[in-house]
Amino acid sequence: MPLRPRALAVSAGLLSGALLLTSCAGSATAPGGGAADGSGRQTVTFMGFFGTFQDSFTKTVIEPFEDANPDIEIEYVPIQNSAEVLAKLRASKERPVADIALMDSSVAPTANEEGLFAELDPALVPNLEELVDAARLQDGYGPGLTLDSLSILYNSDRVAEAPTSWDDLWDERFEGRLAMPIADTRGVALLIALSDILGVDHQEDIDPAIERLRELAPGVQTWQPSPDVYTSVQSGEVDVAVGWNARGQFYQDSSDGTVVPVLPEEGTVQQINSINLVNNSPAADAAQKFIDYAISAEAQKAFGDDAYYAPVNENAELDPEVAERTTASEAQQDKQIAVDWSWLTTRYTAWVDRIKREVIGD
Amino acid sequence: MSAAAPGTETGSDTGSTTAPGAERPAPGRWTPGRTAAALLLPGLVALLLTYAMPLVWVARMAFNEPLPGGAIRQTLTLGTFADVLTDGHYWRVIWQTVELGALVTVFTLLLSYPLALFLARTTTRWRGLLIALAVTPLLISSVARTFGWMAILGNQGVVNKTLQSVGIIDTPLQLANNLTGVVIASTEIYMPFAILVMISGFGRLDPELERAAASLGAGRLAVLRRVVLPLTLPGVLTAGLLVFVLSLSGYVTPRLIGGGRVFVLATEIYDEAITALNWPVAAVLSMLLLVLFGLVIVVYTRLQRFVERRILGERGAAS
Repeated sequence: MPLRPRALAVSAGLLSGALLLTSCAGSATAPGGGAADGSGRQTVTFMGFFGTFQDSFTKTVIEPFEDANPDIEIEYVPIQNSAEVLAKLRASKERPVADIALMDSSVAPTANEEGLFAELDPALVPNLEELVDAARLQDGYGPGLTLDSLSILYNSDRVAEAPTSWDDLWDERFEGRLAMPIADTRGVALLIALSDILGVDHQEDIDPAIERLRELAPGVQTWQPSPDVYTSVQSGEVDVAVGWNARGQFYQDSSDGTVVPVLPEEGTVQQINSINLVNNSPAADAAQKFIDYAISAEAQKAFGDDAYYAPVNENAELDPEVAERTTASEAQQDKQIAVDWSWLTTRYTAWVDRIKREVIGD
Repeated sequence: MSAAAPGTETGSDTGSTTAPGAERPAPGRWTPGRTAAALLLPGLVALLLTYAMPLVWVARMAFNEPLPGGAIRQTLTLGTFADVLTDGHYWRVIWQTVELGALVTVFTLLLSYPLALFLARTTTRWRGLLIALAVTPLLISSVARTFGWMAILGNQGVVNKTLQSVGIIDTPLQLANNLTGVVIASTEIYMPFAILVMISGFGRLDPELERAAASLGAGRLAVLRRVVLPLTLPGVLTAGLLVFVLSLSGYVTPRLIGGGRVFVLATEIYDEAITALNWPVAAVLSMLLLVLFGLVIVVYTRLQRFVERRILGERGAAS
C-alpha cells in the first residue's frame, strides 16, 4: 500500500514523539516504594550483587523475611558492582530507583557524603547494637552486611605443599605460576596486609609494601585472569593466586576441592559490603525493617552458613565447619588487620594508581 | 548523572532546530523538502537521544573536577585535561593503543588481502558459499572467540602443549596474557570485516585489464604490482580504516587476553570509571579517543585522495 507523503510525514512525526516520550519515561521510573498496591503489600527495591550472591541471599534472607512480613515484598535488582550502584543513584537522586542498596565499604563513604544514602533510625534498626566492631562503619549510616576477606588460592592438584603465609607468594616454586588481580580492592587489601607484616603503619607509608610487590612482579603470569581468578586456578592455568575468600570457598565446593582458599597465618584484611538506606526512599520504614532483619543473628547465620561470609552480628554462630573456613574461625578471629574505610576511601584511587604504574606497568 | 541538566538543555535546543519542517506544519502545501525533513525526524530524534545527548554529557563531565573517593565537583575547569596530558602514564596508554591498532591493521590486511582477492576473482559456483564461510566467524561473539584464543595460546593451550610434547620447547612460550596474544586474537577477530570491505571495494578489478597487461608482456608479478594492487588499493585503505578504528576502541580482547598488562584507552576508561570512580578522567580519556578517531579519519581522507589522484589517475582513466 503506497503511503501518501503527508500520511508518511505525519506518522514519522508521531514516531519521533513516541521516541521522546519513552526516553523521558525511562528516566522517571521510581521504585514501587510507598505506593502500596491493591493487596496492601508494599514493595521495597533492593539493589544487590548478581549471580550466586543473589541466589544465596534470596534463599536465606529475603524469603524468610517475606514469610514473616507478608505485607512487604522485596524486589531484587541485580547489579554488577558498587560503581554501577553509585551511577544509578546519582542519576536518580530525587526519585531514587532503589530503597536499599549494597555498596563496598570503600565507596559507601562517598555516597554518604553526597547525600545518596540516609542515616538509619536506631529505633527501627535495633540490631545495630549487636554489630561486631568491623561492621560498624560511618556513624549513623548503613552498617556492614557481609564480612569477606582476602585469601590465597591454590590448585591442590598441582601444588603439593599448601601455602600458609603471605610470604609464600614469593616462593620460587610459584614463579611464573601466579595470578595477581590486584588493580582493585584486592590490591588495596594486600598493601595493608603486607604493610602489617613489614611492620609499617599503612596510614603513614605504603612504599615498603609497593616495593615488596615489585619484587613479585616478574613471577606473575597474569594480573587479570580471565574469566576470573577462581576459574584460572581451577583449570590449572595458574597454580596460586589471591582472591576473595567467600567466592573461593564456593569454588572449593563446586570443584571438589581442586581450588583451595587459605586464610594466611599472619591474618588478613576484611572486605565489607555495607547495606544502605537510600535517601528519599518512599518506603524508608519498611526498608529499615528489612535492614534490621538482614543484620540479625538469624539471617546472618543462615546467609553465612550458605555463602561463607563471617557474620556481622556478634550473636550469630556459624556451623563450626563453615566458621573454620571464614575469618570467624578461632585461628583467625584475633588476627584481622583493622581498616578505617572512611579514611581509606580518600586514598583508594591513588593506591590503585600506584599498583598499576609501579607494580604492573613497570 | 548530576550533570544531566546541561545535557537536557542542549538536547531540547537542538531538538527544536533540527526539524523546522515539523515544528511549523504549514497550512495546505506539502513540499518534497518538508516530507524529507519529516521522514528524517525519527532517525534524528533517535540519534539525538542515544548518541548526541550522552556525548554532550560525557563532554561536560570532562570539565568537572574529580575529588578523592570518587566524588565530583561540578565546575568548569581544564584541570583534568591538564592532569591527564601532563601524565606520562596516559601518554603511554595512548601510544600503546595506537601501536596495537597499527600492528593489528597491518597483520589483518596482510592476511585478508589474498583471501579477499581470491574471493573477488573466483568464478566458481561455490563463490557465495566461500564468501559466507569467510564471514561466519562474525556470527560468534568476540568474547567467545577471545576465549577460544586463550584456550589455544595459554600456557596450557594447544600450541604450547603440542610444542612441548614434540620437544621443541621446555618452558611454555608466553603467547597469552601480553601484547602478543592481543595482536593474534584481534587480527583473527577483525579479518572477516576486512575481507568483506575489501571484496566490496574491489569493484575496479577487471580480468580484462589483467589480460591486457599480460598480452603487453607483463609477467604475473608485474601484473599484480602494477595493475591489481593499484586498482584494489582504495578497498584496502577502507578496510584498513575500519580495522584500525575498531581496534582503537576495542575493549574485550585487550581486557580478556592482555593479562592486565596491555593498557589501552578503552580498558583505561573502564578502569577509571568503574574501579577508580574517577569519572572526569574517564571522560577526558573518552574525548581524547574521539580526537584520535578524528585524526584517523583525516589521514584516511588524505590517503584516499592521494591514491585516487596519483596512483589511479583520473577516475575515468582507471575504469
